Amino acid sequence: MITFAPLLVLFPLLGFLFNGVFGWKIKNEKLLGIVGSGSVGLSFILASVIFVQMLGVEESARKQSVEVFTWVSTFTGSSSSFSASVAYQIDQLSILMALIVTGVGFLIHVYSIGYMRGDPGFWRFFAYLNLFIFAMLNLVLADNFLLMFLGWEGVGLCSYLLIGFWYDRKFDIGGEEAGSTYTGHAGMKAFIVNRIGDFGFLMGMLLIFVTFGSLRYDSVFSNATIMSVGTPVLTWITLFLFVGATGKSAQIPLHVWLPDAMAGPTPVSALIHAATMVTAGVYMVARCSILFALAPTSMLVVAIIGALTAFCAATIGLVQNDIKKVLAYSTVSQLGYMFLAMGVAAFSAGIFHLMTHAFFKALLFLGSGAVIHAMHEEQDIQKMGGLKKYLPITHKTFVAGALALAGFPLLSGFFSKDEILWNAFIGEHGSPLLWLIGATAAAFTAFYSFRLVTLTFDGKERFDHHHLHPHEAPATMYVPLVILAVLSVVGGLVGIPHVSQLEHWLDPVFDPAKIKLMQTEHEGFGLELLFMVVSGTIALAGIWAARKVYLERPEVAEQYASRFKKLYRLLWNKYFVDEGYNAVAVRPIVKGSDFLLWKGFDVAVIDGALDGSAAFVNKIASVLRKIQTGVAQSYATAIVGGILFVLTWIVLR
Amino acid sequence: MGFQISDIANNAPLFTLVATGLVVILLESAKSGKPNVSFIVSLAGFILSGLLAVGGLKTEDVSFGGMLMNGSYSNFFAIVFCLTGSLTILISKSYLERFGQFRSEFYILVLFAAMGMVLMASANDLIIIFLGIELMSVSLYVLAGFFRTQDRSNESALKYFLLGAFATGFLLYGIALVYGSAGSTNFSVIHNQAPALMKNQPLPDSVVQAGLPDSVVQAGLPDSVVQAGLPDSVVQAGDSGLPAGQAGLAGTIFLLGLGLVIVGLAFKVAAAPFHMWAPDVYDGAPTPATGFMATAAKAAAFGAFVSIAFKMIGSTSGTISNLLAVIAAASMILGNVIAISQSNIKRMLAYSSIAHAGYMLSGIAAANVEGQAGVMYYVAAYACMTLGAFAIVSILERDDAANLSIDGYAGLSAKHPVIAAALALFMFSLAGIPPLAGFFGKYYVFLAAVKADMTWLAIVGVLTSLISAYYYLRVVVVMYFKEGEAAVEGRIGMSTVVAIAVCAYLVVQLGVYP
Repeated sequence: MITFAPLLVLFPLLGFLFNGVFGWKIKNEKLLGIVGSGSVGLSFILASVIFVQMLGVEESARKQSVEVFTWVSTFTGSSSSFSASVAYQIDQLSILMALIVTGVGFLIHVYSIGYMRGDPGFWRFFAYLNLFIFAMLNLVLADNFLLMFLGWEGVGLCSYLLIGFWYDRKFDIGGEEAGSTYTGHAGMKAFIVNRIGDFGFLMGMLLIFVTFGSLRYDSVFSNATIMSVGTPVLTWITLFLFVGATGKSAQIPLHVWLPDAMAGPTPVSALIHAATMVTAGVYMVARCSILFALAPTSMLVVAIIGALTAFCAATIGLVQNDIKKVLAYSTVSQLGYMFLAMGVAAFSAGIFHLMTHAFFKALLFLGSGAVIHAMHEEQDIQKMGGLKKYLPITHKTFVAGALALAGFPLLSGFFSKDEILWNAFIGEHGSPLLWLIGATAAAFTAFYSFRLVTLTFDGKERFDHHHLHPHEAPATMYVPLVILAVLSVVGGLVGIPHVSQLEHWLDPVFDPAKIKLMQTEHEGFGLELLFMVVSGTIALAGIWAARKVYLERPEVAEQYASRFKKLYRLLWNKYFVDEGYNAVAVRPIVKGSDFLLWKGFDVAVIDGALDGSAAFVNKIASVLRKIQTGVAQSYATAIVGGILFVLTWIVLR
Repeated sequence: MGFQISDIANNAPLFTLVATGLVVILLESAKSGKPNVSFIVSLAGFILSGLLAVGGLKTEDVSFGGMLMNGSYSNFFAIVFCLTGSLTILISKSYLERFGQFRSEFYILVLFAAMGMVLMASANDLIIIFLGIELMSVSLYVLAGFFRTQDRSNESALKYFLLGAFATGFLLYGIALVYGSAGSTNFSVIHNQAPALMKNQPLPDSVVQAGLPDSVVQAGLPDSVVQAGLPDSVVQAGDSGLPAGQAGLAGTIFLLGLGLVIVGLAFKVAAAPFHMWAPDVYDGAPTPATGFMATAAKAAAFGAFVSIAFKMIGSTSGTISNLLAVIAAASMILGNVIAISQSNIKRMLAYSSIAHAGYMLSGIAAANVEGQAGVMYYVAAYACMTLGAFAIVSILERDDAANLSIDGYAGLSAKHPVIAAALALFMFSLAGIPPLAGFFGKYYVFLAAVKADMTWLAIVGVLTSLISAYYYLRVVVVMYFKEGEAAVEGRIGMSTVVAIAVCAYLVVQLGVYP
């Protein structure tokens, strides 16, 4: 079956072509929806079949590569051997990612049929979603960096198109400088911030090619295994790659785009900005684990950035009032955990958390979509409350997701987060400090997730009954919720330490890295159990505190907000990062372009040079002045200046 | 030296263009006022010439006593010129009709310019380069001023002519210096002399001091560049047979000559700081002519550039490489940053073309085979996406030169989804998003730069192309995400649509399957 792997990628592409080319003529939403979801469903089935088959074969036979066609080959007459193929590599890691992408993707497609009903852009929406799945599968299944980069850019493009899907809607960026902006601009911001990340990826890729002479994973990684730890070029490569990862996975300092990306339709937030695309950076680091293992400095950077992001985003999540914003910061924070796992060489734990996070965060986003749907596009949780009697199914599933996110014992999020924290504490690359940051963030996580649940579903109804009659969503929307809720609850069982198989399943992928790190299995089972208890207690405490405050004594929250006014303002404004970027980067470049370089350099300086500079320039200029009036002479002066530069350069070489 | 029949056969694409040009002139004088015939004949001439060039890709030969070098290199460029030429002709028809300027002269000029370009690409002698540049430039000066009743067009032509003539003077002086030091204008001869000439000592100290003070140079350049610019071999005394002092002088004159030749070509490709003319000229010229200038003329100048860098100098000169790298970096930075503040789409594309000249120059600066191949690929890719963009601009342009502002494109996606999608495609490709052609072009030249130990140049390139995403994307955002009244005046010419389709196809084709 593995030879059919390219079909995995082909189905969504066909779905995209169908919906994209014929969609606008077909008025039948049912057909469009079925084609859109069906193509992803087929891919999921195929991925499952391949997965089952892989279970049945030897561990060494599980990794295979299928080439479709040679994509780029060298030019004639060139001595370098640059070539890349459209080829897919099926191994333990990539099939797991493919299962997550197609599985969660399928559920979200089905959900979208209900969510997007009646939207004039229905066909466009499904076309983009299918295109996204196509790009994402290319990203995770690629067997070389170039194809991965294609997927990487492709998902970015789809993300951009989908964030700006309702381009004419106003949307609030939040914070004090809150002004309404159009969703189209949010899309643009996402795109540009991502381009900064792409710069890192591209530089990393160029260096990889120069160092290893190939872009294929196989040859790069096998050549890397014979290099020694701490080779400088590897540090550069991994740092560049990590810049790429911070862009795509919204890590500090490139996290600013993700909260704004919530301007897109909610299924998009669930699929792209929670479950799949934003985890691409984590996947990339995991894929290159051997390179990172050889660059201890990069590992440390990854761990620190991850821990800081987990912490800062969680604190911002404590004070936000927009239901999707809370979830967005939560996503940033959870991604931080995954990078923390990568940084402390707990690769399997990171991927495990990636999987459970995909389940419960998709669930939470879809649930919030159902709430927003029921509330007629209201997103402010301060204007909700008491919704559990109107939305019983949404409420129950949402609570399941929130429990998993908070790390309630024995649910999926508990196991994965606990394993990361345990490794952060005990691993050779970990430290108690990293653990402390992570554990504190975990307490905040539990608190904000139940602040969200309580304000939304419990307590007094704070909305206007005359205008709003909340109602449960249609079946296409709640069935995916239920399935995801089940997965959120039991999904953790595949990764219980010492009991289940996920860790060993992924072992072959990460073994080369682990050998380099000389990592030993930690015995100390008792200590690990103690840590589990601590994690569970932290989660329970956070949940209890949130319930207590927001259910019984809502005034406490306000008291704290006014007592720690400065801190509150800092969090409410998201540490003023956006404002900082505006002041430091965006405005200067735009202004600089306008005044300094164009009006300044191209017009004024050159004109000025006519009067002020050396006599030689003036003489030539005055000769020119007789020939031609106007700006042409100043251009000529520029040319003379350039020539002087060139000649000086050569004479002084 | 002697004339042989094979000389004509080897240069079949060139002679086809010459013949077509003459036929169109004769036709025009015979039955004046039938531009449709000229249109068809010119188009056929370009296509035939292009096909002949495809056929000639495999042969490698010199002709006309070593003045021309024919083979895969010259024919590759000939294909690019014929493609851009024929696309320009296709685009121009409905545009010229709309402005009431549908005359045969346009086609004659395009044909003659293309001849000059083919000459430049097949040149094996500096004199031929000069001849080609002049033939091309004079035709382009007239093309820029083709709308003689329009002030804008006249201004454009005059500026282009004055500055072009100015730059040509330096080019010619540079050629003279090279001839004076190397004793020949032939590439092959100079190529043999170049290593010896460039290995000698710099000028005596007194002369150096008479130049600009050190501080000027140091302030202008990052240290790494200055240090990297001095490979040991350059510093060591030459081992040529000439007496040391004489060799030193000849070597310096040679390099100065090269510097001036580079200045002349840098002007033609609109690289900073010789770029100033481009925005004004591009803005004022009729849009199809602008497209032709921005693509074919630039490709031709790069054709000559690559010939001089690789066939004449060889890839040994650190000084020249670093000089080119600095010009490349300056072009990328200036072009991309200034493009952000442009509100007129033609000016935006002009600055963008300056930036792209910078990318291509990085490939030449890298001075390795990857660089050469990368530049050739880039030239073709760039020609397709830029010409496509200008084709769409030409559709939307109106009589009063209105609708050139980017904001005027608001709502285009609703009115003309296909045109908007095509323009979006070109913009994405220009921004370098895979898998489109623009991405691979950049990838190859940056790869070449990294291989040549010019990582800093690649970083500048990648960072500035990051900036460029902003202004390219703004066009897409305006088209798709803003309400507006963008509209096409009158009927969209069939030939223009064909041209756009060809460009779009090539942009995808070159990217997906290069």
